[in-house]
Amino acid sequence: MTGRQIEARSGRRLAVTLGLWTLPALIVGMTSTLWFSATTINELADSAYDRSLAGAIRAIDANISTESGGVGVEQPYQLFKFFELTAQGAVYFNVTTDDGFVQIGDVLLPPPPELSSGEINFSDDTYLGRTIRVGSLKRPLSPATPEGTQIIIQVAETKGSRTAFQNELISRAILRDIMVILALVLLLAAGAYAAVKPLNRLREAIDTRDPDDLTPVEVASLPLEVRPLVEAVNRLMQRNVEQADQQRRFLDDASHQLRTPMAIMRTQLDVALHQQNLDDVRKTLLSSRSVLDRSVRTTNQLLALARARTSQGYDAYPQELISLEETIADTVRMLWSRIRSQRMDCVFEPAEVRVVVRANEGLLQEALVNILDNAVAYAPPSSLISIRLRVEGDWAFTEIIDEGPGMNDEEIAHAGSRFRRGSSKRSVDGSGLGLAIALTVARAFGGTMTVCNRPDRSGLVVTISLPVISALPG
Amino acid sequence: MNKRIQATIASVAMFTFPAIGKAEPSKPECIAPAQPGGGFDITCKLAQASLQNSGALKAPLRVSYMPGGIGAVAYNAIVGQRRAEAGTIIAFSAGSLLNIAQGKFGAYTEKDVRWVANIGTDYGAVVVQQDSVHKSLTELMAAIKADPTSVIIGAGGTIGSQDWMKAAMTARAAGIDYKTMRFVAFEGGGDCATALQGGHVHVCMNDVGDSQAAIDGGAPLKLLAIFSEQRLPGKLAEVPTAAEQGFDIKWPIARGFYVGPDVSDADYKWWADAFAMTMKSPDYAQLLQERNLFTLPMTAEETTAFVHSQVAAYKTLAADFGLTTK
Repeated sequence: MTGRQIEARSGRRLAVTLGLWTLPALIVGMTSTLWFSATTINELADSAYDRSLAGAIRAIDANISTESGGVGVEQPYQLFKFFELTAQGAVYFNVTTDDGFVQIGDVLLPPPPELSSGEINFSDDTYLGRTIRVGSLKRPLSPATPEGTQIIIQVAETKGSRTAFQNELISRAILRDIMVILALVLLLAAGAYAAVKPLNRLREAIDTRDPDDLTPVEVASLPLEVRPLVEAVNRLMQRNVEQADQQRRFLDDASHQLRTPMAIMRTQLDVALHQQNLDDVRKTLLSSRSVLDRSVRTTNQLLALARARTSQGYDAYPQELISLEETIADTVRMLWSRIRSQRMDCVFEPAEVRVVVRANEGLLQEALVNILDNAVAYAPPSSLISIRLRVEGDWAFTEIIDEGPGMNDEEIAHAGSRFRRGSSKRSVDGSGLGLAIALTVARAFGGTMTVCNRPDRSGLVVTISLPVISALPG
Repeated sequence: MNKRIQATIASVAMFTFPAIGKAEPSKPECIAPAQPGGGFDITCKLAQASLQNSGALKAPLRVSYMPGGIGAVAYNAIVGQRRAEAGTIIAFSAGSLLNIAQGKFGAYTEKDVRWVANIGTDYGAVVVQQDSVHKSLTELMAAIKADPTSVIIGAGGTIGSQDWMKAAMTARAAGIDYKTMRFVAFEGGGDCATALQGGHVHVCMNDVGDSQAAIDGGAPLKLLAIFSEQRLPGKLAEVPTAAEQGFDIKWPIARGFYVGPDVSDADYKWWADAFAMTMKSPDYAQLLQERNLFTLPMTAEETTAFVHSQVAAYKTLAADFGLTTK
């Protein structure tokens, strides 16, 4: 657990979040749909209305006679009468030849755009102050001479009824879209309410729990999306339960570890008080002192363990870049007299490169001291302790190898647990905290600790692995 | 035109009047360069009747129609392709000359044809429906001044044509910007009169001749004003002149004929002499009066000189109204 606080951000109602995400999409979607509808409606209406314009043009065209050699245009007013009835507006026409000889009809109509022969072009324009739609057709006066004189026929109508028709359709489209938006908003609101309802039930269920009820929350009835969250909370509670368990056990063990030597000392003190012979008293007190030493050491180890645990979360023991081989060498030097007191020997085999790790030197030394202490305590006198430092990839492995009895499988499985002392029958004054401290320290620096028996002969291999920051050729 | 009847008449004529005057062109034809029913039609019909009546022309004169641009299409056809048709005379009017003055007859000028004769004169007239709300030219102009788009002015010919010119001159005299007039162009006075009866235009800037012919034929129209010096005689005496109503504008319309540029001098002279003889005949005045036309006898050189001077005068007038002239 990092314990780092999650960046505080003010909470928002789900419905608001939902609205903020969906409303712009809805607005953009509806606007583009509307724009598209309007364009389509305009195009459709134009093409429908333009058809009747085109019909009028074709009718005038059919009534242009050139048999006499001149250009005769039959008046289209009868035709327009019906056309005006359907178009509900004014209709204008203009027939011209491109040589300018013939100009018949509303000669002041705006001139047509560039036309290609035979094609009817439609455009919007203004005539007599009103908006008009003009259809224009250009064709050769005589089919026999397509490059000769061209005749241009224009028919225009006022756009009033067309625009009204288009506006009617567009306003209907707008109304429809608004209704769709309203329906969507209602459905979304109902959906959001239904989706949030199980969460409210969950909150009520948790609120009504007993304070010490840490059993997992039922997830089966929850929405799939919420389950991982509740499961994470369940796991957090589970860890709390386990940690509370561990702490209770630790307290039990620690108090037991401290009470036993105190009881022994109390007994010894009683014995000493009853002894007449000063030498006997002295002997008893000496034995009491060793018991007291053990208690002091246990207490120190408990403190070290507490410090190592603490360092995982806080900066009280700052980590810095340190040279791993120097730290190991210093530790061996520190323990040298104790190793020699057992007439044991210690060999340190550094890596070929200079290994730098990020750690707190004091705590790392504490871990190494505990492992070496164990080796000194469990291995037979005059045996050899080897320390090997090697680098593989991004990891530095520090192996402490002794020639002791090693551990059985069960002990290996529980190595690192507090107060699990090696079951070796030899009387050793260990508290079982050494490997627990080493493991805790290694984890605090992003590494770990493993324990195994030597493959070649009797003996234990304790390996501390730490991530390498840099490994430079020494 | 019913061609079979024409053919029958022609064959009967051939038998009845064997060709005496050897200079008389064969298959005589008068082209009215417009739709039937307008001033050109009347001009040709007058020639048809009077030449036959006077005996100047033995063969019947066929009247054909070649509409387009107040004579522009026909003028181009004659100067372009039918240059030497001795038997073909083409009607013209002052309106043709005005358009020639503006270059609206294409690349050709008044010097490109041979002008045969003037056979009479007509006058511009303002025509409305019989029950029109506009009771006088003054009222009509007031209505246009109040709202230029409320009155649709019909005319034979487009912007710059003589009908437009009459309207523009009157509008200017009434203090109206003639460019704001609502204007619809027709092929000729006949078409405009038809549209006027249908109510598609409110007023036609026509001629006395074709308008009165339509009224005589029963069309429910009436003349609001005539662009003449004085009131015209006979039944037209009731119609006031434009000047009487406060618009001092005169618009006489000379009517006559031309032939193609490559028509021989002999044939040209034959036509000129035929018209001169016809116009001197005693029945001619009667024929003119029937068609509400007035005498203006000219032929050959006199007509040519008249045409040239008129074109020059029209050029000045067109420039005055901002129309392009070439």
